[in-house]
Amino acid sequence: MTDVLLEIKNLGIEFKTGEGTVQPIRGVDFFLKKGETLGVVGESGSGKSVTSLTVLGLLPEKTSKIVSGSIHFEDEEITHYSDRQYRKLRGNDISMIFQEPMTSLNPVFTIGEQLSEPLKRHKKMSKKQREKAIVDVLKQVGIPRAEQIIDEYPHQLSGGMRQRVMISLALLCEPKLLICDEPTTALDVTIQAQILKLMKQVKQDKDMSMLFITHDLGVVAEMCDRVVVMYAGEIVEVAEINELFDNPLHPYTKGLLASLPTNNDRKSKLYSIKGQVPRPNEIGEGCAFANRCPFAFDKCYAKTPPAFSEGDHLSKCWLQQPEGR
Amino acid sequence: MLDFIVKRLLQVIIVVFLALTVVFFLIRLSGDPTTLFLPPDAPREQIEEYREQLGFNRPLYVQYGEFMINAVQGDFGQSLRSGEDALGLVMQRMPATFQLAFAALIVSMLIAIPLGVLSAYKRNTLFDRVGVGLSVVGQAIPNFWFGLILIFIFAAQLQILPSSGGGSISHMILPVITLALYSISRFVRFTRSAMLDVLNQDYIRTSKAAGATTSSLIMKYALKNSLIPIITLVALDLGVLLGGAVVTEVVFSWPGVGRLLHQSLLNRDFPIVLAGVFIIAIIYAVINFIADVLYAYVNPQIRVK
Amino acid sequence: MNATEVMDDQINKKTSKVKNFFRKLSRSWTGMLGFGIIVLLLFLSIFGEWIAPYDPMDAPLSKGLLPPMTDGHILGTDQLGRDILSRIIVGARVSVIIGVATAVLAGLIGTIVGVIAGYFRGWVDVVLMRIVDVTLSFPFILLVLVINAIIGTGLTNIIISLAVAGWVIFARVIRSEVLALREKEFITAAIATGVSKFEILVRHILPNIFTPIIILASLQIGTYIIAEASVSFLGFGVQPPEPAWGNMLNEGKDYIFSSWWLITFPGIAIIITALGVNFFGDWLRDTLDPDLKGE
Repeated sequence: MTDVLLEIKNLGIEFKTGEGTVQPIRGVDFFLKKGETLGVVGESGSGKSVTSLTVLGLLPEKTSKIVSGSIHFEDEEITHYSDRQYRKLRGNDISMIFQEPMTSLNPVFTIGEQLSEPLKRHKKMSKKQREKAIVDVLKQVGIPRAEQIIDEYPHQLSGGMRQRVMISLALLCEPKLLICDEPTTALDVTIQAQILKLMKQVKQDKDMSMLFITHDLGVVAEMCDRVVVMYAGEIVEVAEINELFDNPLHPYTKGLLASLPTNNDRKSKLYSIKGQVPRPNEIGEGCAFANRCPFAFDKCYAKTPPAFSEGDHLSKCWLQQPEGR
Repeated sequence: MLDFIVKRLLQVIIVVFLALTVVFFLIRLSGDPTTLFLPPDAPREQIEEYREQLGFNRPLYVQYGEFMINAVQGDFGQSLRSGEDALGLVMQRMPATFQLAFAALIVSMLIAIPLGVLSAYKRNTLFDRVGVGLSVVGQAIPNFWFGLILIFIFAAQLQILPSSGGGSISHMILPVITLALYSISRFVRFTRSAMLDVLNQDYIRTSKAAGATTSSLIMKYALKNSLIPIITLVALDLGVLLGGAVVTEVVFSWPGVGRLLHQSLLNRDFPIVLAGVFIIAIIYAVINFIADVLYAYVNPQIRVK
Repeated sequence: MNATEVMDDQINKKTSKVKNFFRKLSRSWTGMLGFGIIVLLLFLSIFGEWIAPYDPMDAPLSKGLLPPMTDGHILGTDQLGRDILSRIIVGARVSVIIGVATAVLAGLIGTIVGVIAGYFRGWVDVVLMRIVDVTLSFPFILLVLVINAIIGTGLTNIIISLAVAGWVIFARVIRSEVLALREKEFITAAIATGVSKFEILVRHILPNIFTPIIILASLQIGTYIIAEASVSFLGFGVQPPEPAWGNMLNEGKDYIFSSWWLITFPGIAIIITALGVNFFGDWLRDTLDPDLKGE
């Protein structure tokens, strides 16, 4: 399994809240191959961001706990890592880009000060070398006047520029894995397209792997090689990108695809999935999607479905159970 | 920036002008101070003569106009008791009051900011709960009472520190602690909540994801962000300390403006009261002004346009 | 439904409101403690004379400066032989009256000014807020002291002095509440349907600023009680021989080297009161309106 960079097995997380504990993700399994872009799709509350924060050990220590499973990065189990060991990964082997470029940069430090931080921590460089490295990366992500911008503060930049700065912060140490948590959601549509194009290009240039978290199937189609669909803290379907769009198996995925507006049929009404994602404390026995599923039958409410596979295409739905079992 | 400074200085002048006006009329409306200086059975002519001598028999607006013209030139008249220049008496007492207020401010900052930072870092631990609990109690303690208790313990029982007067370091210890109590309590709670605010921000998560250590997160990143609100509070509290100094100065017989003002109020020696109000209004307004400028300076979102 | 049923229904609604209050209160120990202290204070300020073991004004000079737990004086006696416990119990009334009356008076003035400034804006707002700024730019205790020294001592005058110095905080908070309310959709909707300005003010604005007023008032009461004690300690405010905690401390300070109990116990009474009121006010704010800041 040397071509696998990241492998998550049976991951379960528990949060302590005012009213007892909840499990925002339960039994999550997936892997990411080197050079691959894996999309993680789901509504808010599906556990996709929690999963990505867990990989970097960024969940709040006091109120959350890994209750089951493992995470392997380059064949090394990292869930029991100490803070010191995690710090060696963060910003170095694994980098992360967050959703909100407006608030993700510190307002009282200059761009240059903030960008030099991972270099100081992970690379031995002189001040001159650092400055050159930063300017180079800023130019790579298409920032004009890079030499001046390093002395400016975040509030002097536009949202799109800030997200470019965030991307260059993630790229500085040439990470093996780049996690993007909804990197374009907060941006204007035209800027979105620019940033997506940039990220695709950067990924190819640097030969990185990418974990791309989003709720937007359109973005997934643009960016990803394979897709993991999450619902209410579980994975419901995993497939190659074309396979998923051509032959979705899980009713939830079908619903998501049906709710995409398409250019072809203008007349039809926009489809939407009825109901809401259950809160973590509302989930009991049975399939978590059953109460919103148009195909649900008795078994769905009684027992949680296992993963049924058809080659590389996995889905957790009783409808996919092979006959005669 | 210059625009801002001019605007704020204008505000200072308005504050001082209004404060003087209000106090002047309150004093004149509350009665005639001449009766206090003459025996109750003094003949009418003598009272009239005294009133004329002090100018109290003229119409109120004339008195007010004259008062304002003199006040602008720093002349608030003479003390009704000692006959000395009122503003001069107040100015003489200024250094002692400043000494006390600054010492208390520095002590509060040195104690409270580290405690507040630590409390935020160790949120919801025993340390945090005890710290917050003590600061809540600290804000409920009247500082003159705290001063009396300190006098009882350290001057009356242990006899290691003087209970009153000024002049040496040992004279300063108890008044400074007394005055600092309230500010310490406020600073601890404020620093803690400012830090918690910052620690929950997205940019702290960014630094963490870039591999920053916990100590550099706290000491470098979070502290610099929370310093913006803290500096403002600290500057404003210097004003609160100068005001609170009245009570503390009386408790410890500290020879400052507060005690002078208190005695003058008791004696109805109004020229001194007016001069004192004038000085305190100016100082207070100037402190507010400095706090604003400082705030603008440490906050790049205002400084760099 | 007949008349008695209607009444029953209303009584039921009332009891469930009271029940709801206590259910919420029971979740916070500081809130409960604060509420308990407030109930105790109210009880003392009404029935103090009957509970106090001695007459608080009775001064048998022969029994002066008795330490605590002697001759049936639990907290000792003062320089004139008056029982300290009795004076603290009876003195609770002064603190309660001053705290509540000032909060009502300052709240009333501040609300009127705040509503006018926030609702009518324009030059009225500018002038009123300038006055607020000027008042706030003077140390609170000093302002109370100067006003009280000029207008004279006594219970009524100290309340007036505190209110004159204290209304500005209400004005500022209420103004910003009103400004925020004006932008709300339901106000715009009311204006759009042609409701008059005055009616909007009475029907929509006033009911919605009631909660912040109550919260702010409860948070300010502790400040007023401590300020009164400070001013009385300085020889103004409430005058002896009327028992009040501040003037007990003023009289007791001369005996600090010999008789510690004269100052210790009235001070503790003030601290417990201020803590109780603050605890309750904090709880009220956290429960009703977490966004409102007391500063």
